[in-house]
Amino acid sequence: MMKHFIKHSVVFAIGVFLLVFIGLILPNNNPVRTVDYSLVAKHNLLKQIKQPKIVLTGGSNVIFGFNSRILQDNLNYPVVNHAIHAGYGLKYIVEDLLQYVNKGDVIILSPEYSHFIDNNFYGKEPLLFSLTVKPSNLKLISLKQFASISEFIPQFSFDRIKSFIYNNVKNSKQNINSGKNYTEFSINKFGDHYTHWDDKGVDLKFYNFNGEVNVEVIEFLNAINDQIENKGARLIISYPSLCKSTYEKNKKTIIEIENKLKKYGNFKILDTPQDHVYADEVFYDTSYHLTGDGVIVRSKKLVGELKKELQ
Amino acid sequence: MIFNSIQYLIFLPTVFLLYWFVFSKTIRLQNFLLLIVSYIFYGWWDWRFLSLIIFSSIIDFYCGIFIDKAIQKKDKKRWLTLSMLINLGFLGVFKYFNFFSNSLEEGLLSLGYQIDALTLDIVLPVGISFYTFQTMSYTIDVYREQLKPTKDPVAFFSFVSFFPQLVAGPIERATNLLPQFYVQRKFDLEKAKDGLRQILWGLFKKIVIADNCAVIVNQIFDNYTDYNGSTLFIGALFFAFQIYGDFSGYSDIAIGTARLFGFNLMQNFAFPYFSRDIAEFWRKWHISLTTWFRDYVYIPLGGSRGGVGMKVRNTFIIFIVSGFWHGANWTFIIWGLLNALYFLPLLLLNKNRVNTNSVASNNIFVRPKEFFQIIVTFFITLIAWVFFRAPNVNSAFSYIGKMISTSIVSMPEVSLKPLVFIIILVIVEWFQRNYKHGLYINELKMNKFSRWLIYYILIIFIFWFGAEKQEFIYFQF
Repeated sequence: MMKHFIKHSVVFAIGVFLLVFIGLILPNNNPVRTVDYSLVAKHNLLKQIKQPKIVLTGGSNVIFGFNSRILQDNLNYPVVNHAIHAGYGLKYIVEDLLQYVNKGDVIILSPEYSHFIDNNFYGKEPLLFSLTVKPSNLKLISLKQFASISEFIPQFSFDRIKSFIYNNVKNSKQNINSGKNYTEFSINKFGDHYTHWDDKGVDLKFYNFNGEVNVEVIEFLNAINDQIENKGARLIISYPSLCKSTYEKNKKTIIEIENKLKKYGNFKILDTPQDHVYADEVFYDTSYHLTGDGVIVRSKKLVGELKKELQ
Repeated sequence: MIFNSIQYLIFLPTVFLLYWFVFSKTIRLQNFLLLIVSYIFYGWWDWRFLSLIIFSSIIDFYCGIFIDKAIQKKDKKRWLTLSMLINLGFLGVFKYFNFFSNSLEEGLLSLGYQIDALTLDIVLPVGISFYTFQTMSYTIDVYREQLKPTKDPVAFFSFVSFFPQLVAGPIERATNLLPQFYVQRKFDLEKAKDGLRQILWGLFKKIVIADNCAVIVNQIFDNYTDYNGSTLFIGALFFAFQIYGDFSGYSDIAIGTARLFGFNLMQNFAFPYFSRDIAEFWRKWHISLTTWFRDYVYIPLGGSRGGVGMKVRNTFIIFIVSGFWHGANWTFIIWGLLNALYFLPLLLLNKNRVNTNSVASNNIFVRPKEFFQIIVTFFITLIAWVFFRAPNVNSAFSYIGKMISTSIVSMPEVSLKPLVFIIILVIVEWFQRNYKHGLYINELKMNKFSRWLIYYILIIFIFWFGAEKQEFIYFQF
C-alpha cells in the first residue's frame, strides 16, 4: 500500500516538476526587450569609465529618479546609473555592482524601503529574470538567497509559459523598439530611464510596507561598506524618492528603518527620508518613479547634498 | 513555516518518510519525531516563541496530573484555576495588554483625565490563541473527568504542538486528538490519498481564491473613501471569500496533512456560505471554535437550560467573547455583537435549529425559498465582515454607509478577475456540499486518468492564476 502511494506520488510530482521545468527552458519569444536587458549595457559603461566616477544604484527609484547629466555637469565626475529593479533584491544589486567598483569611485545607494523588510533584500521573481539576462551572475547567489528566491521559481516558470503562449498566439511582428517605456531602449547613455520624462503621471500605485524591519540587511550593508572601502572607494546612502501619500501611510515603518540604519549602520548616510518625499504630482506610475519634473528636483537636491560631501 | 512555501514542500515529504520508515518501530518514536518536527515548524517563525509553548505544555501536563491526584474538589479546582490563569495570562499579556491599556487611556481622556498608559513592545506569538485553547480543553476535560490525564509527556507535548494544526487550528479537543497519540497509527492508503486531495483543494482556495481577492480587498479597504458603493460592495464580497478561502483552505491543508500521518482532525468548515440562516452558518463556520465556546463557555454558563433571558445573555456572551478571541480591537467585538444580534430573532422564535438538514437535499438545484434564504444570510454576514476587516469601528461604519448608497448601482472601479475564481469555487463546492471537502472523489466512479487530469488542472490553475503570496489571516490570532 505504502509502496503504491509513494510510487504514484513520485510519478505525479515528476509531472509537476516537468511542467515547471518546461517553463524554465522555454525561449523568450517576447519581441520587446525589457529594461532588464539594459544591465549588460550598464556593465559595459562601468567597465569603460576608468577614472573615478559616481555610480547611482538601488531599485527603480534610482533608474526613474535621476537625470545623471545634471549630476555630471555640476559635480565634474562621470556618472553611471546602475539601477534597474528593486525586485532583484538589495544583495544582488550591490554585489553585481561590486564587480565593477574601482578606486576613487563614489557609490550612491538608494535602497527601496521594502528592501529592509523581511527577506525582500534577497530578491524576488525579477531576480530570476535577471539571471536569464546575465547567467554568469549566478555565482553571486548564495545558498540562503537561493532558498529564499526558490519559492518564486514555479511562478516564474508559469509566467514564461504564459508569455510564450501569448506571444505565439499574437504572432506579433512587433518591432523590438515598439514599447516606449520599460524597454532596453528607454535608457539614456548614463543609464537613466528617460523616455517618460515628458509624460504626466498615470494611475499612481501606492504601497504598504508591511512586515518586520530586518537588521540583517544593515549588517550586510556594513560588510559591503568595508569591501568598498578596501577597494579605495566610498559608499554613501541616500534615501529613495517617495510620494507623500505612501510616506504618510508608512511613516512609522520608515522612521523605524531610519532609526535602525542610524543605530546599526557604519556607513555614511547623506540625508533623511523626509528630504526625498515629494508631492504625488511629480510621480509617474508608482510611489517611487519620478516624472521628468521630479527627476530634475531630486537630481539638483542630490547635487547640493553631494557637493558638501565631495569637498 | 507556512503551508504554501517551498520549505514546507521539502519539509512534508521528509517528515512523512521519516515517520513511516525510520521512526515507525514504536508509537513513542513516532510521537517523538512529531514533537521535534512540530517545534522546528513553529520555531521557523521565531525560535523564541518555543519557550512559550513549552512552558504552557509543562504547566498543563502537571496540572492534569495534579487535578487527577487531588481528592478534594476544591484542590482539583485550584489546579484547574492555575492552568487557566497561566494560559489566559499569556493571552492577556501578549494579545490584550496593549488593548486594555490604550482603552483605559482613551476612556479616562474622555472623562477629562490624561494618563500615559503603559504599552508593551512585544510581538504576538503566531497561533497563540489556538494552542492555548487546545491545551485548556485538556485540563478542563481532566477536571470534568471526561479524560484521564496522560503520564506520557512526549504524547502530551506532541498533542499541544502537532504541526498541521498548531498555528491556525482546527482547535482540537483533547478527548479527540490526544488518544490518537496513544495508539499505533497504521498507514491507510485511501485516507492518505484523500488527505492529499484535501491539501490540493486547500492550496487552491488559499492561492487562487484568497490571495487574488486579497490584492483587491487591500486596495479597496486602504482607500475606501475614494471608491463608489459598488466597488465597496465588491471589496466586502471579495473579503468574504478571501477569509473563507484563506481559513478554510488552511484547515483543509491541516486536516489533509494530519491524515497522511494517520490522524483524524475535526472538520472545521462545512460549506458555510450555503447556510440558510445565521444559526446554520455558525454550525458550519470555524466549527472547532464554535463548539469550543459552546462546550466550555455557553453550557457552563447555563446554556439554554434557563429562561429566555439566560439564553439571550449566554448567546451574547459567547459571540462577544468569540469576537474578542480574534483580536484586541473593538472591530472584532462589534463583529461578534452583530452576529449575536442576527442570532437573536432565531433564538427568541425558537428557530435556531430549523435548518439542520442538508441544503437542497437530493436535488441539484436549490429551491427559490432556500436560495433567497442563502442570499440573505450571506448578505448579513458580509456586512459583519466589514467590521472584521476594517482598521477601526469608525471606518467600518463609514465604509458601510458609503457602500449602501445610490452609487451601489454604478460600475465597480476595480478588477473583477477574482469573481471568475469565486464562481468556480461556488459551483464546485455546491456539487460537493455533502462531502467533507471540495475535492472528495469516489474512486469507484471516476477512473485514474480523469482524476489525475483534475489534479493537474488544479495545479496549473494554482501556478497560472496564483497571486502574490499572502500570510494566512488567522496566523495573527
